[in-house]
Amino acid sequence: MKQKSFVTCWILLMISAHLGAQDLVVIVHPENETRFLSKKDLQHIYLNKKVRWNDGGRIVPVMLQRAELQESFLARNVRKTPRQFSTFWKRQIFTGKGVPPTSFTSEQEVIAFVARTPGGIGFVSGKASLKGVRSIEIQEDSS
Amino acid sequence: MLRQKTGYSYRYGLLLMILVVCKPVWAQLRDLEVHGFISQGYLDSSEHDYWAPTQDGTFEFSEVGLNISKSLRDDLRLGMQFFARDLGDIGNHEVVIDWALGDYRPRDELGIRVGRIKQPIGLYNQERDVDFLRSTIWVPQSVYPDGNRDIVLAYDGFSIYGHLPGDLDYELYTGSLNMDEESPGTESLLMSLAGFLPYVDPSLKSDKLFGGFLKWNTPLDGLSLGGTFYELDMSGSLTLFDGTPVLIDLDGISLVVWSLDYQAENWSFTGEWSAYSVQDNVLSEPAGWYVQATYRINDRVELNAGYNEFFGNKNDKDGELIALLGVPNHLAWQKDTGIGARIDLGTSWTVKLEWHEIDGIGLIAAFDIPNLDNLLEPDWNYFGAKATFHF
Repeated sequence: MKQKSFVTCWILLMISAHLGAQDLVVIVHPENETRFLSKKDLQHIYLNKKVRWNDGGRIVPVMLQRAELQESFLARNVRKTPRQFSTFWKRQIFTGKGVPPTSFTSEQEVIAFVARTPGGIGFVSGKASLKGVRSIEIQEDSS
Repeated sequence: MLRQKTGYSYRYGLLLMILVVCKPVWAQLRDLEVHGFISQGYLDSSEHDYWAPTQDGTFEFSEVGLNISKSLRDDLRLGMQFFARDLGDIGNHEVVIDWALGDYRPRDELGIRVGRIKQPIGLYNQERDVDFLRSTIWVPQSVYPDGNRDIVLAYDGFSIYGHLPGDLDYELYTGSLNMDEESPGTESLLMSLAGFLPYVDPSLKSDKLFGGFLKWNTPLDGLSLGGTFYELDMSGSLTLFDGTPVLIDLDGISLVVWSLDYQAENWSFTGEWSAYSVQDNVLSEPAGWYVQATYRINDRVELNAGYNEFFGNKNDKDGELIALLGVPNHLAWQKDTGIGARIDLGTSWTVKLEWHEIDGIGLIAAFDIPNLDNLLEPDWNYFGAKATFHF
């Protein structure tokens, strides 16, 4: 009986981990030739350190203003809390170093922006319909 | 005077409110980024006037800034910030151009900025006037003394910057510093060069300035280490009260700052060490260090604690040399233990409260020491409060 419960728990854990991994996807323009990015690449893109794709095109990151998704995206990839991320960009704004990524309130707006912007990159939930954009694989950083 | 200054703050506040209300409209029309802030502080010290008449408690402590920027292309941006401040007799709400630059960023590794640019010294010099970007009211005074703020704040020139393999951020620059003879930093420098005798017709300019900042974002998430260096030559002249002309020719003034910054989810730890060097020791060589920790309790409240040590001359930390001149030796240092709280009300309002226990008066400007009796008190404290709105 104990063994059966353990197996059930294990299966549920695997399913939830799988769903967790799928709850957020990073999207780019369909013509973007980049197949994958590391988490470090994403961090550098969203912190104004990496500004060019490998083909030389300008990277245009955008944010989705949905608290739970934003928090998850920033924690996993940018390694900052929403407050730290916001402060980083305010620091850029008020010292003349840069302006933050454009923010959208809906997933449809993020997808529409990335679909019409060749260098665009954004994130949406795994349930969103990715019409006109392509999801990109995010790999763990190599040690 | 206070009424007039309060009037200034009110007008600037009203102007900012109008801009906040209108921001979506004209930002949309002209595709501009528009941001601003206004701060009002209160200082009250047990002894000594600390930049303002703090012994009686003072509201003469405010800042206001407004910046606009516009991207002309995906790699080219123009921007500028107007700024005004009041701190006792300093600033008096005179509006100045804080920074104004063109920024061209063709590659990850290389960007170029031209114009008036904030000088990248340590972790805080570039943002020292923007209250809501940090936990404490003052930037750590041991490394960022307000006495030379006006000199080191910004330069007119150009810089190259970027992000290098190995997770390194760099900025190299050259240009000239703003030497306003009536600013506190320049004035105390001129006083020192005049041997503390009365003088007239002062002039001072920076002949050569170059410097750089390098930050290594270490593999340990949140930990970065930084190094700052700059070197400066200055020249000028003044005339002593008896008509004796004095030519100023100062070469090889340099500053080194080492920085450590660790940012975790709810807490942070920063520490910096700095020291000036002057060729041939013709001036005193200030040095200082601090450690500071913050802990965020929740979305609204963050606590901070810090310890600073500043020495007016790294070659006379105990004040033995100045004691030979009949000056109390506690003028040689200032050691500051501070605790405080930052309260965030929504995304635009910040309120801060702070308490500092201080040993020594090495950071108090000469003109803030009204008489010898006051000079004799080494132990003092002050309370600070500040509210900031930004958009």
